[in-house]
Amino acid sequence: MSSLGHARRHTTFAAITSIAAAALLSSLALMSAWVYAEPLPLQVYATAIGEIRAIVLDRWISLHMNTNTGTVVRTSDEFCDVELDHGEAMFNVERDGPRVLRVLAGRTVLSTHAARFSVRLRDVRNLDLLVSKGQVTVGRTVIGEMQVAKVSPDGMRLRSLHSAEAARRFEWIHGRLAFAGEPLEEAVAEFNRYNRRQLVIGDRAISLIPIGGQFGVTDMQSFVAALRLLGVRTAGSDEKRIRLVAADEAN
Amino acid sequence: MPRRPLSRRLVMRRGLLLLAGSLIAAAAHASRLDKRAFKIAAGPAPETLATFVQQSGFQVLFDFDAIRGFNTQEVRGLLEPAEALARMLEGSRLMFEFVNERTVAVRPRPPPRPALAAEPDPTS
Repeated sequence: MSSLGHARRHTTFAAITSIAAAALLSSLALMSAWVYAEPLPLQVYATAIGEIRAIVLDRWISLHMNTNTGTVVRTSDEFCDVELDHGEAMFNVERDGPRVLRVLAGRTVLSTHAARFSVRLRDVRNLDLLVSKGQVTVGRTVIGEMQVAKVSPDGMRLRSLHSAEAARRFEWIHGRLAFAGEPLEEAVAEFNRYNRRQLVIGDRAISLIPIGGQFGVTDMQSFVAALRLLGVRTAGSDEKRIRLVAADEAN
Repeated sequence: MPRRPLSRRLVMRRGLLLLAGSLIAAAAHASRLDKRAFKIAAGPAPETLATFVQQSGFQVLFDFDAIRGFNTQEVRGLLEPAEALARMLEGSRLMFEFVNERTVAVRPRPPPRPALAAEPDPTS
């Protein structure tokens, strides 16, 4: 009885091991097929409010989609075309890939063979471009490493930035907002991009407080709690809004 | 019906499960008391506090203009985040306050209150 039980346990163990091994091999096969297969010709991706998503388009091209962003991706032998319908995305294009990445954002077309950059579409005519690695071409202008371009109907304004500032502006990829002196009204606008419940400044006296620090993009409650120590309190909040006023303002 | 004694393998399996469970529970309850490796150079407070955020996993808020003129001390070693922050701010005239388990606000210390002037002697 004992040896029979032992043998049965042995058989069960062997069966479980075989199933696990088969499952592992299938997963590895699927993963390699996913990584190395040719991308589908047309794909649509979208993120909800507060969602940040990483997408691998092929072995050389990947992107991170920020909150409330929509993209349509079309691939051919020569090009990977990404239409940024709304929102913000960070692209990474490795050197020596077979396709050129082209991004259509509003009325602006950007292209690159190798770069790391982000595009934030503010509306159909206005966008912000930040290049942290490589080069991106917009029309006839080449935007190089550590440069920011603001595209508007008035043209394009370029400026350089330090690597620390570039890293801070990419913190959203890790789900964080990083501030280095932005006025409270800007910090509030940033939080509102990631949250359904909205912060509202109800007192002009606080709107220009220069904010520093870092917070999780959806941890609005901690941000509001910490603001109390900077002389800001909440007043008249409901399910949809949190109203901020100066701590010394009368009820 | 007599209970069958547990086999060594079963005991080991349950032990491992218990250990894994404890580790997961411990990770889930990571708190302000967890020690972390810190390596933060001395420098301007806005920059060193950004490094503190990266190394501690804490959230930090401050009035940028109010603290930009302050420098903080170098901190190295395996420390609780609160201890690391206290060492950074030592002698800087900056202070911090916990807002919740993983969030702190940093601000300048209020100036010391002036000593009360001696009351004039009504009899003189």
